[in-house]
Amino acid sequence: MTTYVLRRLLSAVPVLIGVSILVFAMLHLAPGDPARLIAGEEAEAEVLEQWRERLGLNDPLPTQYWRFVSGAIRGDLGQSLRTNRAVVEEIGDRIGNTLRLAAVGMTLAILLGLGSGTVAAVFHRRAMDNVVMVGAMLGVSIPGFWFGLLLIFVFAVTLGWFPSSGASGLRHLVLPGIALGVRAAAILARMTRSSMLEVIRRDFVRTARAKGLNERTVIYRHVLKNSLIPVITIIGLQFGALLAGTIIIEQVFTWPGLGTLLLHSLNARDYPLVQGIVLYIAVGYIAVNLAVDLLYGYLDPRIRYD
Amino acid sequence: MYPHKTSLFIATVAIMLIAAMTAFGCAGPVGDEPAPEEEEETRRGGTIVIGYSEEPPTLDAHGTTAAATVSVLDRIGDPVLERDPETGDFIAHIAEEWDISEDGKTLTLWLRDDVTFHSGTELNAQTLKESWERILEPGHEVALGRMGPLGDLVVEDDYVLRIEMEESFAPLMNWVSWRSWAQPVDPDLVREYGDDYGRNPGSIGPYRFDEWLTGQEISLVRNEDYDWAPEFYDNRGPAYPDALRLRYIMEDATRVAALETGEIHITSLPSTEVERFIDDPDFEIFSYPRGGVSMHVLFNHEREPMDDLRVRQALSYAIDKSAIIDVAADGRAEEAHGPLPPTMWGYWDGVEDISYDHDLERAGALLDDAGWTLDEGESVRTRDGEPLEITLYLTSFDHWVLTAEMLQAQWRELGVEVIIENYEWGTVLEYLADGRHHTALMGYSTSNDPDWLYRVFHSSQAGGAGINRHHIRNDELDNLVERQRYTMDPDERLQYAGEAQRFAVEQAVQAPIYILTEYVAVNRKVEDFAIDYRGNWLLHDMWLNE
Repeated sequence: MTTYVLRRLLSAVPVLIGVSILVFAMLHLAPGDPARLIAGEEAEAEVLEQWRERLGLNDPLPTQYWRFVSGAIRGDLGQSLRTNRAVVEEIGDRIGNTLRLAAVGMTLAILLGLGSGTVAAVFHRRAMDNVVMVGAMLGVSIPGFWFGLLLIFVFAVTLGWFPSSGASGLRHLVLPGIALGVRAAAILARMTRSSMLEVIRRDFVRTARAKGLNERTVIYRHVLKNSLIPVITIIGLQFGALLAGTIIIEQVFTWPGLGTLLLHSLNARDYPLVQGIVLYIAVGYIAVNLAVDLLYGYLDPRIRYD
Repeated sequence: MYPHKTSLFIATVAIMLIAAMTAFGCAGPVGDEPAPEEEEETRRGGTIVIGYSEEPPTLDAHGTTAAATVSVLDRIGDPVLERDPETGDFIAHIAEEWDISEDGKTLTLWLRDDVTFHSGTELNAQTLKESWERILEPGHEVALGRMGPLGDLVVEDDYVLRIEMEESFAPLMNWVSWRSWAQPVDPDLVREYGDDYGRNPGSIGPYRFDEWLTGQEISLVRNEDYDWAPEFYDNRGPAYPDALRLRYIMEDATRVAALETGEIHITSLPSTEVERFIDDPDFEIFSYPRGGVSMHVLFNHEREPMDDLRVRQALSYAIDKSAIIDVAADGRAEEAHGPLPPTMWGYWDGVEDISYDHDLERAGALLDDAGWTLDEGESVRTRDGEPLEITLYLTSFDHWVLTAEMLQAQWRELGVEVIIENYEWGTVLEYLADGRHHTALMGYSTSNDPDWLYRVFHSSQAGGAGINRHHIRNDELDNLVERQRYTMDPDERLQYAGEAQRFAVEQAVQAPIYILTEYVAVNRKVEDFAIDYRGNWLLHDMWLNE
């Protein structure tokens, strides 16, 4: 087990190196000059040159890359070009908010997805099944920003139940949480349903029923638990999608998380900040995938890590 | 603490202001009857929330020229000289008196002796000098371009500061009155926070910086010591609201929703939302022309065929400004006629008589004359077999893409093929400095002095050294904008600036298109909000009536 975790952690290293090279190359090879954006569009050539020198933009690319990587290993991701604060500090200000929002979105997705997927499987080919499936179809198809604006219009402007934007309390989490979680919930509902339908036809389920277990026990103890492996995989993947979704949702609800920060820093060509955020997201993705792999073993003891 | 001047004076100012607002098409209750003492108390209190779309990168006055930063600095700081909200004339403020030497190289300021920074330190000649010298430090160059040939800052007496220039520099008074980077920065806070000053700023204004919740809001609290409001306000003492909250909501639809729910009191409206709010009794709508010229076409004078006057004039005649305004700005803009806006001191209104009105026939004749002819059955003009193809560079800001597409269609009618080159902002600026473009869209809003003409037209500013993105190098124009820059006599300066504007229009150096109209929605609970004709928000009389 420990060996497995260690091996997985080691294999994350080349992934991270790959990510860092990709982000670095994409930012630096695209045209555009961060010095000009910082110094102001009206800056004189001399001032621009001073800025380029100060930011190290005149150094060869490999030198700049090495500076980035060696700093990152020491936990120093440099300074934001736009705000002049440490990247770690900028991200630290925001990451909690994004995790909070993602957690709410994910919890909602799991509760709603597993619940409605189970209901649909149990009531297979009946009205309830159709209702859930139509709902799931809508959930997958609705664009996040539009759904977010719709929620604001209905629940903030018209009904006045929740604030339209901001991040100061639990009430602020509700609308963005729903907007974020609904798509993942829809995907999970469809996955849960099909996975359960497959398991429900298995021999051991017939055996369980034959030995007189009540239906509730059959569904929860036997069917649901055995259907969860593909669902957990999807949850892991959806977590990545959720992080990407926060970029749009945070923008709509003015949620002060990594998503809005990433958009801002991309627009400002804030190289160090963009690199830092992408690195954080990559690490988060790797961690979630590792957690998912470890969960498999818990759910299905036949899976061994050696 | 409260009004020092006689009520007659205040009433006169009020009447002048109302006249000015009416004259410039602004609505709103400006300079109500002066409040008796007992009413003052009822005006105090509450928190007014203002919504903005952009969060400042920093609050260091010397770290950026971003408009988002200026909107905060304007609340926590005061300029040393003010400008009359009606005429734009310089008026005494922190500097009670000033004097410009004969040769125009020295400006002496006599400062008030009762002004303190938020940290409690006194504002005097020494602290003001330190503040301005900070602009010269590395990393603070953003404002340098506007300071001109600064020589030395000399403390003559405790409250007398002398600014010495290496050459006479007419925009000097303007920079002293600048609302962001020229305002004094709190020397104690600068020392205490160093590089982190931008997150912990302080100055001498009516509000103190309180807290910055990154990505959400900046809160400011009333400065109880503030007792030096400019003379055009009724309220000369501390501000009425206990606090201001400046909330940053990027998404237009969300910001407007927050306005409707009452979460924010004041915000600027996107042009698409104006219609919906204009008759809403819960809100008062203010409108004013945005500063600068929001949209114009740069012609690159170094590239064929743009070096030909007839081509530039033809393209100018082919532009139907009102059609572009209708499509690109929902009709919420005014036609521009020259390189400067009518709201700027130094504007020459003669441009309105000599500007290019839409006239496709004349445009066609000019191109024919230049050798670019349209063959039977063809849609693109040619000269010696070469098609008339030009590039139009831009970035995808609001309004810009639609404007470019309209221009493309209008110029195509003339037989000119337009290739639209759309890049991210930093990239466009780089390409324009290199002179890759035939034509490009450009707009500006920050400048408020005719010295702008020098910066965009003078040959020394071309080729990436400055912002002469027309790449025009013309001795006559150079001479005019230089004289504008170095002549201290305002009337003479006006004349040079006017001639430079005439030259720019006659030679079709650029093609001005429109000046956007800004709309601000103010919740009726907020009383005495005002905007001057240049679009500066005048907030010191503002109070919350709940």
